[in-house]
Amino acid sequence: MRVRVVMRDKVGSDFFVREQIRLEVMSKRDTERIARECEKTIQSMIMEKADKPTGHLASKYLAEQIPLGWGVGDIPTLDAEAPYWNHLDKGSEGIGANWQHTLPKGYWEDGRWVEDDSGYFAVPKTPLPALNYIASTLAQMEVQIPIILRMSK
Amino acid sequence: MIWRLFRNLQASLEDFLKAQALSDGLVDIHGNSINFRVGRKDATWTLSTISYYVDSETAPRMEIGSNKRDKRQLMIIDIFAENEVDRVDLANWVADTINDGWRYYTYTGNSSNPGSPTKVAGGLVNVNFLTNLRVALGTNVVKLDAHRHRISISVWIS
Repeated sequence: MRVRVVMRDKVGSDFFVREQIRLEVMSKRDTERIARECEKTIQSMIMEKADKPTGHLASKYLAEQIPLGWGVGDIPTLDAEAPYWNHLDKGSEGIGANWQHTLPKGYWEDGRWVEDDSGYFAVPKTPLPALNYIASTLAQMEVQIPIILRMSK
Repeated sequence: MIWRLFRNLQASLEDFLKAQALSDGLVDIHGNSINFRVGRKDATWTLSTISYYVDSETAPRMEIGSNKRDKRQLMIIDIFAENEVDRVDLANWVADTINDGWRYYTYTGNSSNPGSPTKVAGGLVNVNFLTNLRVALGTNVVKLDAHRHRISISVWIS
């Protein structure tokens, strides 16, 4: 984005301050727009690329304000609430660092593993394919960011 | 049969990396040569292996009303190393090697000798790095995943 600030004698410092505030407001608004678009993009990438998606992982990727601006996908939250987020993105032989390739007790239902204490242990036989939803989102955002900034007024 | 864009990109990158590895004398910490594979991942692969594939494409219009597209392909390069030393060294080698891009070739299948398709040189594949990170999947992971690195790039042909 090209920013041009013009200072004029007659208007003086007040004009400059107003311009600065306006630019700050615009950049904050743009950052939020980009974050909101990124949230939509990563959620749709997960839903499109995953096999039988439930929406659980996608729902954990939210745009939120952080001290330096806006962010999408808080890693501590993802680790706690959807710990397989990285395995699904990169692909993995196992499905969780602490599970040692054995699923927690449960049973298969409609192609999904449902945790249940009365169930049985199972070992996944096929690796999780890499969805690459993070890299795909970055590639998509390369296209979207210039469009968002062009529309900014 | 003429190969299409995605296969050509993968094969062109493979030819380029193999040639560069040969000229750079690329080996792992034990002095063994590096395997180069097109594809996502296979449990039968042996360490150390560098794999690559086209994942997806973005194709926005060049300008409003035009059907010309600014096509860019997302390529994933995975490095499966035996140890951390090889992982960082191979990752640096890949990033440095592809930084200036590589020659794009159009391949045509050879039915009498499928392993040797004929190829015709085209434009230059340009690279924009998206990510370049260790793949951290925790501690209890299989050997193939234990020292893994991923470079994702956006490429376009000029």
